[in-house]
Amino acid sequence: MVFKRASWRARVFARLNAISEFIFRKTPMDIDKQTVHHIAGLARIAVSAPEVRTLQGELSTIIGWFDKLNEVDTAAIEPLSRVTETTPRMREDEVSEGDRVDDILRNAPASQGHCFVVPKVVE
Amino acid sequence: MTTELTRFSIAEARDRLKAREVSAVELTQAFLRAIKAANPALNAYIAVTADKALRMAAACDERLARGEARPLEGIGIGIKDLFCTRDVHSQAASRILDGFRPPYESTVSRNLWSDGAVMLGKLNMDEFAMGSSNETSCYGPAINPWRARDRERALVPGGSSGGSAAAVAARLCAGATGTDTGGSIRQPAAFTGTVGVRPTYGRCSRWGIVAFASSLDQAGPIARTVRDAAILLRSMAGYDDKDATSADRPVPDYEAALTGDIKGLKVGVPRQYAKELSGDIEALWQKGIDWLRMEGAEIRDVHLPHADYALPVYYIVAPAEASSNLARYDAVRYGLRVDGDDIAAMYENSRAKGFGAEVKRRILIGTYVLSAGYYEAYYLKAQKVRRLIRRDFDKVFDEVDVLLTPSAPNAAFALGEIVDPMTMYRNDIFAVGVSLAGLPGLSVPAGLNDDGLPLGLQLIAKPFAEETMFRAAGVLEAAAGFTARPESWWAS
Repeated sequence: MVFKRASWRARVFARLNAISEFIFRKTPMDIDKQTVHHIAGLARIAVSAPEVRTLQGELSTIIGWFDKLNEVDTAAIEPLSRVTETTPRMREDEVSEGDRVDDILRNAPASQGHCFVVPKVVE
Repeated sequence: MTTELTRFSIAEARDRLKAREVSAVELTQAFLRAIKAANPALNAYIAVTADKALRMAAACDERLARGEARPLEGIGIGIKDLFCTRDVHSQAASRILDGFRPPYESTVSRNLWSDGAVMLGKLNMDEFAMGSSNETSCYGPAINPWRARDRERALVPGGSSGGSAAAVAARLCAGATGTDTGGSIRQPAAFTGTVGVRPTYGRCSRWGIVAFASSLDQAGPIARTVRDAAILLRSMAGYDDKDATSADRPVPDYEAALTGDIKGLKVGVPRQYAKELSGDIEALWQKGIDWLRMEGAEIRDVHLPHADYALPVYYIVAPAEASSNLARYDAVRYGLRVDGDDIAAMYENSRAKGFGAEVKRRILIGTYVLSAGYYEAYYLKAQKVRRLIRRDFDKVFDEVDVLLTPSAPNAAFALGEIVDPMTMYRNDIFAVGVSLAGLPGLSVPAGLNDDGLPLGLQLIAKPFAEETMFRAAGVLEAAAGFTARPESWWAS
């Protein structure tokens, strides 16, 4: 039952993706302010109003340029994510280096005991 | 007399050190004096490790006295700031790594020290290696020691390994490490009349090098001669169990590959690149073809059908990987922290203040192309075209041994001359295809343009065929007879 629901949702998402891809290809690229804010939020970078204006123009130009790739037929092409064909060496599953708490903490902006200190996360 | 010591190539210095004509301490002192005189003008070094250098040099002299010299004993080397060096300034020229002191040493730099090299300091670069002019450094730009004839206007040394290239050209070190993601070794080498080598992806360990785009980043040397670059690469390269993508194969003696004989070598020329070129660079390219032919190489026209797509593919793949890699700068474990009302505001404020404009731009592009709804249209599409680019090279390399192209579409430009990001990206036009395909590429200085500025030619080889690439480069270097040097205006 759970499995069925998941595959139904996957199909819907695939369809939605295909539709958005289609719409995207037909529309000249224009990144609006909201999108810049959304992306900056995902990337965890605070942006000021003047920065948003500049980025809007720059990102629109750069991302619009990427559409050049639509000239290439890649229907039967597998994506390439790594250029090396080497098989990594196997090794024993054991700690080779460790017990370096002081080394790890020494660059922390704030630490206490053996912990990094961050602003309160849970109310 | 002592300033003359800095003029020795690595090969010459090695022989003189072994013959005890000069000591490692004298050589190191000469470099430190040269750095002191030049750095206010060139801004090539962002940290000078004088005490460490002299201590290392003294130890080298003891070894030399015992007749136990290692391959780089007593040779003064500068390290790009992207390499983590234990307890020494390592900041990727970014404010976000303010005050960071690594508790470990990068494998490549450790390899150099265990071969006897002396560390002179850390070299300027574009922030996180993102840039083609060294102008995005949080330490301000490094300046090219070369100036156009009869002009005093400051020129960029290229980037991102701009400090490395400037320091080598101005003789502020015997050689330097660089890294090349999309041309960051080859383009600055071309701009400064130096030799820059990007080895095959996996030839050098990436461990301890601040990550930019992991499927593209490679370390390599910048030096004054092909031989010096060959000597350095041999020490830098090698398998490392800390980097699963490093190549598990022996490192050849690249210097021994410099036989000067290229009879029968098949050289491919992708003429389609000509449309991107100014007249002087096209003329130099033709000269390079003629030089190789006169030495017995066989020249063939080749075609790379997807070459025009390399730049947009690169500017999708590299920022995508960068946006993931740079997610680690969270103001918790190291670097700059700017407080906020809650933890999310702390992340956002720290990253807003810590990253420069170009780094932010690339993180945002990367985040965008990986985000829901766009992943397939951009990132996956780019990876597919990347395969076609690799395939183009594979096919061409069935017929030829090396490719010859210009290194960059132009000579060094003035500081502040290029402000538009897209125009800046075009500087990588001949470099990025090689990076995307994981191939080795080398830039060798081959002549001067009408303004008296150096121009480079690029040789590209099959994966792990660095020896062939060095052999051809040695012949090109000898034929070009490039002996020009920048006038030392910075010392006055």
